[in-house]
Amino acid sequence: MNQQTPDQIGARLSAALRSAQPQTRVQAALAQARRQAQQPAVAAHGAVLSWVGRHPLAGAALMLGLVLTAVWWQQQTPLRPASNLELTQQLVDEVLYDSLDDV
Amino acid sequence: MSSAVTLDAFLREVEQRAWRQAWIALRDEQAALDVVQDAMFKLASHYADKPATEWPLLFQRILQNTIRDAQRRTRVRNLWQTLFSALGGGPQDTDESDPLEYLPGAVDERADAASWLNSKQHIALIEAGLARLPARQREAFLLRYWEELDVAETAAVMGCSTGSVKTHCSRACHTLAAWLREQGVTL
Repeated sequence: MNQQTPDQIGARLSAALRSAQPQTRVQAALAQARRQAQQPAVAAHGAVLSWVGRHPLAGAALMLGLVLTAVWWQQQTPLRPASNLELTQQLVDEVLYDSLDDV
Repeated sequence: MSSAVTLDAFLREVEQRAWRQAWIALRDEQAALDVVQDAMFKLASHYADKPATEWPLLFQRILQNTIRDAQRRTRVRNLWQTLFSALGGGPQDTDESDPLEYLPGAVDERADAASWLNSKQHIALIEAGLARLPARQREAFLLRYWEELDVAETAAVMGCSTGSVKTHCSRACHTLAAWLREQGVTL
């Protein structure tokens, strides 16, 4: 053994390792893993982000547009239902009143 | 389309060897499968458009990094399990069933010089010996002798100098040979 160089030892040991291979079930799992790894469907998850990545300016404009729309919508109080303060107070009163009734 | 076919052929060619590498390093069949799939996915999604001649080294680099990440995660998980698990009584062997099949003629009893190496027990011993090596030595050994990369390619994959590769390989071979000798196996 002492006369053998590291390369000889390495070559010999890996030749021995090559006389075995993964079990059939492992081979099948590997084939499935290979197919899944190449499926473009995985990339579809991030389709929007990929688009933004390819078009950063358009993505920034889109985001700005969304934010402005949200701000504008928030400020359009007349378009939203009027404040329900009175209704809320009335409801609370009724609930309290009913609860007193139960007592 | 043809590139996808070529990539598929490439992955088909390397997948079993890649799984063996991961399995030797992690000693966990499922974790090794996850590592190989992860490496395949990274190659397919980021480097499919690279020339096919670059794939082998790129794939090896991705695979080695993914194996290292998996080892790091396992180490952290084991640490927490040891700290908090009431059942954690010591290091556990993940030796459930042998995930390898031995090729015809591999376990014959011929008395020629190489016959001992071809027996199941000896292959298992070699793999166990490799699993005991420091990560960098095992990586260098597997890339250099199992994947048959030359020293420069191994250095490129490992991100170190060719001198370091030679040192790692030499130490790995001597350590392995000494360990096998302790187990009663003479090279």
